Amino acid sequence: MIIVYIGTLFLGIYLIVRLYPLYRVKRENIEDALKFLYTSHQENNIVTLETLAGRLKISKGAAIRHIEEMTNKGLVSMSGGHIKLTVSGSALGLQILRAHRLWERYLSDYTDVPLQKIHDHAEKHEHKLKEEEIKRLETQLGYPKRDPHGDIIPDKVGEYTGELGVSLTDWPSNQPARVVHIEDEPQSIFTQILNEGIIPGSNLVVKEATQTGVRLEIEDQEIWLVPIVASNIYVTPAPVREELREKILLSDLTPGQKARVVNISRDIKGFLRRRLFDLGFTKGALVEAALRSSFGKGGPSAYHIRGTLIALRREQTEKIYIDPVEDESANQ
Amino acid sequence: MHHKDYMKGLSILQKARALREALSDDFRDILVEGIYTESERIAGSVSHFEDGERKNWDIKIDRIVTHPLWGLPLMFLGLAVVFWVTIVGANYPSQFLATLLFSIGDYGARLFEWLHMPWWITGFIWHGVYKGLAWVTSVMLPPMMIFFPIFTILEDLGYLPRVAFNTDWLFKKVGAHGKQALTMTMGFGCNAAGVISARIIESPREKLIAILTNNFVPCNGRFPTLIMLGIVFFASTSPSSFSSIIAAGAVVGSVLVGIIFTLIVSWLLTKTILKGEASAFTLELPPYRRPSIMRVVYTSIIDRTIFVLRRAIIMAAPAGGAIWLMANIHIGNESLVKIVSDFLTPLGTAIGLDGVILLAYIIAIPANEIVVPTIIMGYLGVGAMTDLNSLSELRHLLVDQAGWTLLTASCLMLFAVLHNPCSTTILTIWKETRSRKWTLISAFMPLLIAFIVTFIVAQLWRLLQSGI
Amino acid sequence: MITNFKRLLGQSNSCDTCSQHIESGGAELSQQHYLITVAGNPNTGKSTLFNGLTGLKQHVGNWPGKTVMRAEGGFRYGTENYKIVDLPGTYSLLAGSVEEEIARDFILFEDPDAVIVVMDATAVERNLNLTLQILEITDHVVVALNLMDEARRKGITIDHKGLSKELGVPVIPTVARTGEGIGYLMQAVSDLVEGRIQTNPRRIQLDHVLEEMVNELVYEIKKSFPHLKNSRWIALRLLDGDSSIYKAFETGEIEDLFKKVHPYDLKSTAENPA
Repeated sequence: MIIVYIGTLFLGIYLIVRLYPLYRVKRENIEDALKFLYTSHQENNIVTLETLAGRLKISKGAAIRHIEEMTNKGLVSMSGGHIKLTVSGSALGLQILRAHRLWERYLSDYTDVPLQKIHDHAEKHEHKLKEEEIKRLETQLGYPKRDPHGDIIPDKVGEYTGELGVSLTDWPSNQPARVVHIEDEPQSIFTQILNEGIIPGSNLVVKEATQTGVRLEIEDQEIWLVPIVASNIYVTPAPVREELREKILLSDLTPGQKARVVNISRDIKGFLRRRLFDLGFTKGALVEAALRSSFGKGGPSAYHIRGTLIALRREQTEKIYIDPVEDESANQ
Repeated sequence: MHHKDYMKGLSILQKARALREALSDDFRDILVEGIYTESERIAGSVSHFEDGERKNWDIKIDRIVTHPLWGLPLMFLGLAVVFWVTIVGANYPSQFLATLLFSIGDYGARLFEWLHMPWWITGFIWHGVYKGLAWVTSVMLPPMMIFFPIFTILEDLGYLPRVAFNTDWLFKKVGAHGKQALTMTMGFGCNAAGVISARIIESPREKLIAILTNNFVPCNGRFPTLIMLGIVFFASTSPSSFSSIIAAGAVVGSVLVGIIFTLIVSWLLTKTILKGEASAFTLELPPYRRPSIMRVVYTSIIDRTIFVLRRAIIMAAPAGGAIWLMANIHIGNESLVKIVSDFLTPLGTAIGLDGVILLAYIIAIPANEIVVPTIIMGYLGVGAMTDLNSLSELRHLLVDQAGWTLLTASCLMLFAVLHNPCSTTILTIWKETRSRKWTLISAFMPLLIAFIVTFIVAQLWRLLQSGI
Repeated sequence: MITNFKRLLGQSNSCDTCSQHIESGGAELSQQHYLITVAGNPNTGKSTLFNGLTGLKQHVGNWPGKTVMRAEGGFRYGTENYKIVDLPGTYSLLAGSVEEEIARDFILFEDPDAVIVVMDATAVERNLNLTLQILEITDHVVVALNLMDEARRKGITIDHKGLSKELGVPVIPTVARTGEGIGYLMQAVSDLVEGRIQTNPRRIQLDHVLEEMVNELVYEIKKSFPHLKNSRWIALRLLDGDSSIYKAFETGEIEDLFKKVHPYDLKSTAENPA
């Protein structure tokens, strides 16, 4: 008896909590709409009721309610079937966009959230950040120029600085290129690109571009991308300095073996990357494997580098490229 | 003027932003690389190497203490030896101190009687406050004087980072930080110090895990309880030469239980309220250094022993007074101790303990050190002058008079390891996290776990017993 | 109070090598004094040196608003009083951890009269990374080449005079644990703060593209803020996107920061001869 009573009570509460939002236009949705309007304006795209409804995945009726709400608040105005942002709407749209991209940068640099999931996290969190917090975040992150998949983060007056890059399908063959931006939507294509090992900062060379796809070389591997995938990758000329990565990893060293550091993979970002550099894992540094801890691959290994013994987990040593040194005399 | 500065600042920032855009993303890499190239050149030109007397010492020692197979067992063996030395070494000084301090107490009480002081003043001061102090001093001081110097030497030598190195794979598995092992070793001394040492963990998520679970490492204040239980229950039947080994084993066993719960709870936190992956970590294994004797003596005696003892004494005095008052204030025919402990008995029995033990744990919230003396005073009640400086008397009191069984001892051991942190630690957690939520969780989560675990153990035990 | 638990033991000072005497804790901090600080990598004996200078008279607490331990103390050397602050041990000032920020901000904004950089003589190459960065920020540096005993045991000899020439600042070999060389170290610090010696710190070499960019920014900074001393370093940090420097420019506080008298002092240092 009691169980039935409590059960009904909980069900009631659950339904109220679940269904209530359907009756009101949520602030989050308004903000999403403004963000979409803002980016569309930047790209000179026209937004209509239909495109808005499609983008926000809501019915036309709901979209109308959104527009009413935004008009009442003085955020948008309608002209000839187009939705236009007012000055305050534009400011709010910019704020949400900045919140989104800065939060993505934060997640990528300071947490372990995988790149594929970063967008979804930021979609939620962008609504929680207040203007002050966004500024503080930007400062804390060191005024990043781009988000983790290469979108430019506008500054607080909406200024974009940076090259947007050229779509890979339009890039000439045999010219070294660096990935600056990957479209993070649709997610399935984004994930596919990441699975191929392509991230912003990757260097690649297009070997052949045809109607059916693009053949390219990345990290000594050849891969084939269909046009719809390749067109979501944007590149700029690769800096001359960059060398091809060696395939030998720090984790391949066994205790007693020595090597010189070639570089640190771009998968290691943010604070950890800087920390590794400061510990002396820079190009050309002599490193000697010293200790391997318990339980095979599970535990960390320790390396002599620049006069100190430093322990690293395998997740990191697998991303440091080295050039083995055979000769003892290379020591000093 | 401020406004002008502001504008000037902004124009420089704009310039910097524009210049940065032209820089490659490798700027930082190039910069640090440049500094290191310079460092290499300078270092190369000013240093000269030849074979020194201990060039390869460090690595030879490291190959042994971080050995993939024996590294961990060696560590636990070392821990067991440290506890054994502590227990054996502290045994006689403890008895001596107890005899001395309790006889001073007797003389003090007699002096007060001779001066015709009211009985309740004599009782409160000598049988309450003083007895609490005497117990805490004689039980805690000798082990601390042995344990802390050994611990400080290990710390000074540079062994502790090796512990973190050996155990990292465990922490990685449960989604925690490799340096959590370091915070745990600090927790042996004092959980509050362990909580503070969690500052070395950069990731906020893993720092919180380290803070919330530090309590599962039995701190110095809880050793007396564990050692007493080990000796009274698990060692009393064996020949005396073995008893210290068994007692040390019992303490190591409790520590193991604590470590297992640390890992389980870390894992649960990672899967629930503190979701995330284990973050990367870099750990320096500094060269072994000869400890400085002065520093060891100073750190272990002044900073640690005196600090912990002072805190224990400050807490023990009022607790001793409180339990004496409770034993001597009667409502109707019953003393307050009896009334409260009777009230707590059903709960206590359900988790394998009894009302007096729970009462002692309530009184001991400020400091775990006084749990045992409070329990004893709780059982002895009014004016019982037995000097409990021999273990057989203690065993007689607990087993024959209070009816403790092996179940009581086991549950008390579990409870001692798992229950809530002392108030100093809770306060420290508040200071470090500045979060009411995490402070509350850190206080109540272990308590809940302690109740659940002891409840399950007690019920299963009784079920099995009745089945036989 | 609980931090006492971790406080390290101070050595008794041996000052047999110098003519003057270090009086631990002798300085009443209300008197006028020089502000000096100890920086260095972790595990270099930095705190041992600090404790050796201050003895047991230290203030232990947290850095304002941070959960990082801060220790400070005072001592007397010769006729002068010194206040000394122990900075957190760091490998660098670039990575941006809280400790590095604290160390960096202190050297940059508090502008101490002398920074003692403690280097591990057994790992000079690694330690130079931090040293070179500090030399980029301030001229007032004395290097303590510590752990000389360990270096000797490992068969490492360091030409400290050569190192001093390379860095352009005094380099004093020390063994903080026994007090060896501490007298010479304090003599060098005293010479520096009293202006008896001038340093000529080495600057980090940059490739010419970078150097040009830095110069361009330095020019701008000098034009707008002629009082800033370390404009080159600030330019470098701006190029690297350093958050606290950006913030200081954004709020217009950049100039005030450098005019600020030491906020940690008990008394204004206006009459300080430095």
